[in-house]
Amino acid sequence: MADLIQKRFSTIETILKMLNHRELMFRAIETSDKRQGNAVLEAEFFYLIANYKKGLPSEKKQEVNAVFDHKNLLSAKVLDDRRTADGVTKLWFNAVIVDLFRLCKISLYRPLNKTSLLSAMTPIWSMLSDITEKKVSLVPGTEEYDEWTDTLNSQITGLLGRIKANITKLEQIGEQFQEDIADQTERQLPDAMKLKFEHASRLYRREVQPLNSFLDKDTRYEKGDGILLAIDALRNVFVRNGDLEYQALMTNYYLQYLDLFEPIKAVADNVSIYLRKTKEAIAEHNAIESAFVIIRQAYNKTLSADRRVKNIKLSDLQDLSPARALGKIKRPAPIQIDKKPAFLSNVFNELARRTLQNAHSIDDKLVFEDVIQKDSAVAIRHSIRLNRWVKSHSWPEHVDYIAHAYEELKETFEDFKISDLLEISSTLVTSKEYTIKALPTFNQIREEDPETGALAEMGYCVRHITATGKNTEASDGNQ
Amino acid sequence: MEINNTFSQTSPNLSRAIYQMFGEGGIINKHEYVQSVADFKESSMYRELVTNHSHYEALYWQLGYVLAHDGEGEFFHIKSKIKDEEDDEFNEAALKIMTVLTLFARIATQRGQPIDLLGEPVQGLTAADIDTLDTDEELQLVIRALKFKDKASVISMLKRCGFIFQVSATKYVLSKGALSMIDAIIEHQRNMSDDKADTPFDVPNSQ
Repeated sequence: MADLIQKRFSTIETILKMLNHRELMFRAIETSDKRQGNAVLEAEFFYLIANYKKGLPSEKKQEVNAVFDHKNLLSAKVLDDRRTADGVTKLWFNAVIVDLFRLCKISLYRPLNKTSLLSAMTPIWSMLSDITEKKVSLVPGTEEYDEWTDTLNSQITGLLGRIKANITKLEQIGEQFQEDIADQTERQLPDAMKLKFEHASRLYRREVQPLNSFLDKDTRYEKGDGILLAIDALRNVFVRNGDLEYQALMTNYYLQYLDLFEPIKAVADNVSIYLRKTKEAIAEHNAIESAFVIIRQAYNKTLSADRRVKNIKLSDLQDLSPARALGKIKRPAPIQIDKKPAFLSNVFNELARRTLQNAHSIDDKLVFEDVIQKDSAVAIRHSIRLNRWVKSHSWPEHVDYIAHAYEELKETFEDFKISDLLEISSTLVTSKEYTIKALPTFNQIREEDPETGALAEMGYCVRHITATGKNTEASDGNQ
Repeated sequence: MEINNTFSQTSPNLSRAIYQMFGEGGIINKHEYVQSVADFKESSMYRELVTNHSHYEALYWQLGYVLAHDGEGEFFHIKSKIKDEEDDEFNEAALKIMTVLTLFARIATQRGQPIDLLGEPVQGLTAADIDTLDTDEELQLVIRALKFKDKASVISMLKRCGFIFQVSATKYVLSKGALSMIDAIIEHQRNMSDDKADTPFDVPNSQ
């Protein structure tokens, strides 16, 4: 075993053994890509090896130790360099070896973002400018011409390969999004949905959209034409130069690049639709959460204000959506009587009195006859009749008007009582047609009821009346 | 003056049913779920209101209400002509319904389900969704604070007012009117929180 640790493998042996443990290299490349650099931190590499070895049989562990030992990797030319700077040791893997492992796992293809696409175009633009500025000889068959065309060929095919590989990767991702769009019944949980949306959005911005634009036949960049316009320009160069072989080759490349546009467009559409729908779903979720916060606040507010109050104040929910108002037919509320019967009796009596005052005949039926007492109706009619007599009577001046009234009414007025004299006196006192003059003389009226023998008596201060000349009845029109 | 008696053209039974529905504070949907055919069918009350629209419009106008139609939700409802009444009492019923619909919408979005599926009989409002009103302590408290006795009284109110229809013994489906009210809540909340500006990523337009 000790021999195995010290053993150095050849390049082919090392690569073959590394392929046996390719998962470890995949992780190393992923780690390197995350740092967006070409080197792997040695400490991280050790950590990955230690993790990878967990669960392996001891023989395999020894093999991993031997193969991935930096001295072995350096001697097998798998590592280009191992350098320490600022106390950090980095391992620089051979780019060709790394690309070999990238080929084994599609997710490890380097993303083609706008920067990498433009940097891939830079040599092609440079070669085009070599021709326009006549820096190279355009004589076919010369060494310089062959070298120029070989380099051009390599640049265009290399880029074509990278784009094809990336489109395959993106197509696989696009299919997942398409499935998500099709399956509306099974959405992810909101948090997972947000994460996936974030990932898709980043993927779209970084890889899909730049590649979609790159493969558009009309795309131009600040530094030069897009790939299709550049290839077309190169083809024209070969046409002018009479190089039919490269002219045909350029046409072929043009068509190959053009064929890649449809797949990337399909991916772009899928991701775009997914993003749009997911954005709507997230917005819907956020809106409902906001609405729920209003409900929760209304609930908490109600309880915090007064622990005895258990019900939400509905006005606190108005922010849910004030635009909607649903009506409800109100049923008429039952009449509530909160007055005492005596009060209501007075009210109805008064209403009856006022109604009768305007009636043509004293015998007209009272409006509230059904709800007032019969005695009250009789009393009201008697009182009104008495008042009408007072107003229509020609009162003599400078006489005791109460004695005069008594004499006039005691025999002729139906149901006349001495107490009616008080009402007569009161009516005259409040009347504007007369002025009252009280004399320092006292008078008394006595009457015995012929049926019961009861004695009625009224003592009063003698008063005279004088007409003022104002006739209120005439002005009111109530004669 | 000639007076047209439009009452003779209307169906007394449907008119009574419509009045009863509005009396409950409910809405009259264009389509209602009919269990016997396991599908949505046009409501006879809705058809009656459309056929004799001017009659019912005048009738409810004289009673002090405006017969309104919601185009998005495809339902009829009434609004009080008196502003104060609308503000005080009428909105209370609407707010209560909107609150309950928000709770159901949240149950759906919490598990990542599109809200529209609450209006599909195949998915709808399941027994598990309704049970959540009892099992989730917070929802239970909110329901009680809204003066509902229990989950059954919530379902009963929504059903009575035309916001849900029964699909089976344990499953219900939201009416289009209910879904449009949820849409209105979402739209309002999005406008309130300016959701469009808050979205961390722009949604691209595919070329």
